[in-house]
Amino acid sequence: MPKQILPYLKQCDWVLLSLALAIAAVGVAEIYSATQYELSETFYVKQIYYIILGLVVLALVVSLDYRLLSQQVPYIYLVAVLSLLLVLFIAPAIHGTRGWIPLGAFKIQPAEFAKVAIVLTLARFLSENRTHFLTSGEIIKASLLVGLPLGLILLQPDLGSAVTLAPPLAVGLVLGGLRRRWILAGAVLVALITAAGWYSLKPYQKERVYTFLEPERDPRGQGYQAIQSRIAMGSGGLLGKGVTQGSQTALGFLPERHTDFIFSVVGEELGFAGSFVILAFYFLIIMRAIRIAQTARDKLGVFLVLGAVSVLFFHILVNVGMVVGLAPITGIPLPLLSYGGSSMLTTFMLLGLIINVGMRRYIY
Amino acid sequence: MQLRDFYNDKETTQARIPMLQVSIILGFLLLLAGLWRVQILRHNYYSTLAEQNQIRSIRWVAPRGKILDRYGRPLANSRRSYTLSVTRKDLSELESSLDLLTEGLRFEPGYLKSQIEKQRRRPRYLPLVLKEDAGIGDISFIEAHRQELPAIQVVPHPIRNYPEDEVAAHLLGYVTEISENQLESGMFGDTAKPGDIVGQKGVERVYDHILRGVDGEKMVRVDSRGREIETIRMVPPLAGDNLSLTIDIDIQRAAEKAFGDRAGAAVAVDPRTGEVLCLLSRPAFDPNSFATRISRQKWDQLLLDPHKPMQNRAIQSRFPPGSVFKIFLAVAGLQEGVLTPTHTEHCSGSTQIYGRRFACWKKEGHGEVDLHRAIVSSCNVFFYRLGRKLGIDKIAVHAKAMGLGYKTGIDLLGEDPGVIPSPEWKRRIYNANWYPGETISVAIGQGAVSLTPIQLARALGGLGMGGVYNVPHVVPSEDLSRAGRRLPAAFKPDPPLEPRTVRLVSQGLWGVVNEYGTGRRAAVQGFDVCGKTGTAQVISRESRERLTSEGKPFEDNAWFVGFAPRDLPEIAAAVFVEQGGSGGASAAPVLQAMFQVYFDKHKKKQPLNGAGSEHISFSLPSERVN
Repeated sequence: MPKQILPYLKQCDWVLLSLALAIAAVGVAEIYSATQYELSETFYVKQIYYIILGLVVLALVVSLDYRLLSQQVPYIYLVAVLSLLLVLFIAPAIHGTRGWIPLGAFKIQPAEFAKVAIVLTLARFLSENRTHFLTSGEIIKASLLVGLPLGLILLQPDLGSAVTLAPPLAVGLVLGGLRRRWILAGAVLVALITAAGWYSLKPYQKERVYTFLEPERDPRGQGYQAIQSRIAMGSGGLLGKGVTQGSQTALGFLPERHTDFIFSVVGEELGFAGSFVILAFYFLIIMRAIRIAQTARDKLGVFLVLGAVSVLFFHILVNVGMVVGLAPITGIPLPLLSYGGSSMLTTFMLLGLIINVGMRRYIY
Repeated sequence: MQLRDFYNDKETTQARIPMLQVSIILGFLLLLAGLWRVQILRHNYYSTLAEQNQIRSIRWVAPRGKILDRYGRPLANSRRSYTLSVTRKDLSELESSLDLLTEGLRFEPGYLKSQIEKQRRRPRYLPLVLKEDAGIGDISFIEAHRQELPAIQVVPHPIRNYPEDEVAAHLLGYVTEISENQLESGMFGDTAKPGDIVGQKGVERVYDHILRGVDGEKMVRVDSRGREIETIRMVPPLAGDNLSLTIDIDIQRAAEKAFGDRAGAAVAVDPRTGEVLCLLSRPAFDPNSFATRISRQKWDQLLLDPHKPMQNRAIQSRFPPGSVFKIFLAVAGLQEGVLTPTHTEHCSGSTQIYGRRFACWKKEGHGEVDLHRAIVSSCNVFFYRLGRKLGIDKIAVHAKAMGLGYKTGIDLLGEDPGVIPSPEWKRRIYNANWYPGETISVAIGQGAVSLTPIQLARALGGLGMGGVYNVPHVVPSEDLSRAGRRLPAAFKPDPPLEPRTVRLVSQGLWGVVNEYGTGRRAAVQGFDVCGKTGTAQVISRESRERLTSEGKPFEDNAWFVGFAPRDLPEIAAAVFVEQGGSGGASAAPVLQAMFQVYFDKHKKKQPLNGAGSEHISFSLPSERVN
């Protein structure tokens, strides 16, 4: 048995895993720093548990051949959709939205796991296509597969999480053989949907966009977070103030500082140097993943990796963009860094899929 | 064929991967540019903003709910006060102006330094409190010296106020800042934070979760001179809920007044419901003195005081009941059938039992006494012999059937169960045998038997009710469920008291007050008060004589217990006066004062029932009279 496993372990992308763990470790330190004056909960200890749990989940995902995993796609998809339906009925409304199912001591966020389900589902669907280009029927089918869970998440309502399901669809369709004119048409469509969507946005969502464009418009409410985030980052300078030394963080000016805004704590305490290194780590993880996609043994593997990459990249882009003032404020966490169990597990599942494909490039 | 397809398709996909790579690289470059702009190019700008981010988070203390008496009159409320404090961040600024502050706020030299030192251990985000309940002079001093003292904050802060001062202090309890131990133990719930003001003792403690509100927060931006420029965020506090008690402050005041400076306790309950109308313990403390940070000295003084002012004697202390216990002996005798109304004993001033002489309090003796006369004149000899006939086990069974020797279940903490001794009890506690002579002492309420005032008030009311013992409570039953409590059902012993027993004993107790008995000073004209005196020896006769000769007179403890009116009791009470001497002289007037107020309020204008002693009905009242 060990002899059979050994070659697989050699093929496991240890560098990618180490980079991910390094980011997660920085996250624990910064969560500790951000919540050191909170007496009610020890967030950083919980985050360590989440990371350990994440590694266990990763090991599970990696141990199963991804081709076997893709055979379970109908069930996985069904569970994801059912749990999103369930959330609408049983989850308690917090701040007007419902997204969490309380499960004993834990709270489960089905929208997070839906991301993994969508990556798997799209990969299976697209890999079964045997022609050069996608037919319009296939495009519509793929869109519906994504549209159903996306719509359910919108009903919670959780715009941020819903939007994260779009990138795997876009990347999947383009790489799956969307004709060039369709790519063009898609771009136009996105522009139209954006315009139409603007009119269907809830007032508070519109307000977020306004304040993104002009934070000083509302320095106490929405804009407050944006301004405080930038003050924290900017005051960090080149080298930062040191872990636990961030005054803006310590004084609690920054709301959500251990979850969505953890990167501004990194920026304040570790400076440009620290945030640059973190970004570089993310970049290396993604580039290695794409390398795995390029050498994957089959189409299924390619689409699995690229789907996972698109989800991770979108999160990083939107979250860091929000913190530095390039994107509006949305409730999208930063993979590996933000505090939270569901996000951590999802990230490790996606990394597990990538490593899984990489490990089974060659036949033994 | 299939193979070819596969590679072709893969090529389409692979050919487009560089497109994705380029997009991702562009995305990261964009983020990097954003980082560069914020952290490098605009570093100075944001640093300045961070410095100016003089945002102060001020705890906006929620006022505690009021405690009201049964008619809505305040027993505890909140008053506005101001706290002078400084945030940790600004502490260094303060060091240079310590002398100015010490002078301006009239502190002892060195006090401020020690105060700051003492609060260093508190969590960093809590401001350092310099002075609580600051006067108008202090505040105008701070405002006049704003230039030199920019860091000092003047924060409005509701302070617990007890308008009646010491009245009902033990019942109400007091509030203080939550202690570290209390915080760790989680006894005040998960939401309790350092700096929270919580109830300690009494109603404040038991119903803390109702009374305590949720503190709010105010975030303000201040300029470099400490002045508030704007409010950034306001989370208004949620005030605590008000809580009505069953207490009648008029009865409470009357009892406190009648008590004077003596030590002891008085409890009055409505036996029909168990509602506590009055509960006092002496000596008392002023709960207002805890509302602001109490000094160590003052606290030690209260704790170490030999008179134990913090002890709630009404429920937490037990004392030998003395002759009061004869009531329960009479009940036991009648219930057991060893006693008939016509049975008489001869009292010659003492009697020989088990080869020992037991004395009556009346040296010349009472002569021939029947049950009624024995109760009215409190003849010891009659009850010695009754006690011997009954035996200790039966005495204990009947006393316990009236709720004695158990906690009553009142909604206050630290209740003492009292002691109803028995051979089994003595073996368990002292690992010693019961001597027959001890039974004779117990028969007149001496020896190991000891009871709490609340127990006696309940037992007397329950007796008057014909054997229904309601659980005493200070919060009305309809509000208890809101407080997450449930009122236990009334205790009805099995077998129940026979109406004849109740009638005969009540008649005797009526005689104590209204005939030639020892309790005449408890009488309320037209109210048919029933009662019984008790005098319990605290120390041996020899010790007392020695102390008296040394100029330190030591008196017996005095009791008076009773209920009224006789037929359908509406109020029952127990009064205990430490070293009060005789129960009739010292305790009965306190009960009288309480009953008089009740009578004036509820009965005066109503047509009175005839004071006839022949026809007595014991059906339970179907409706409340008040």
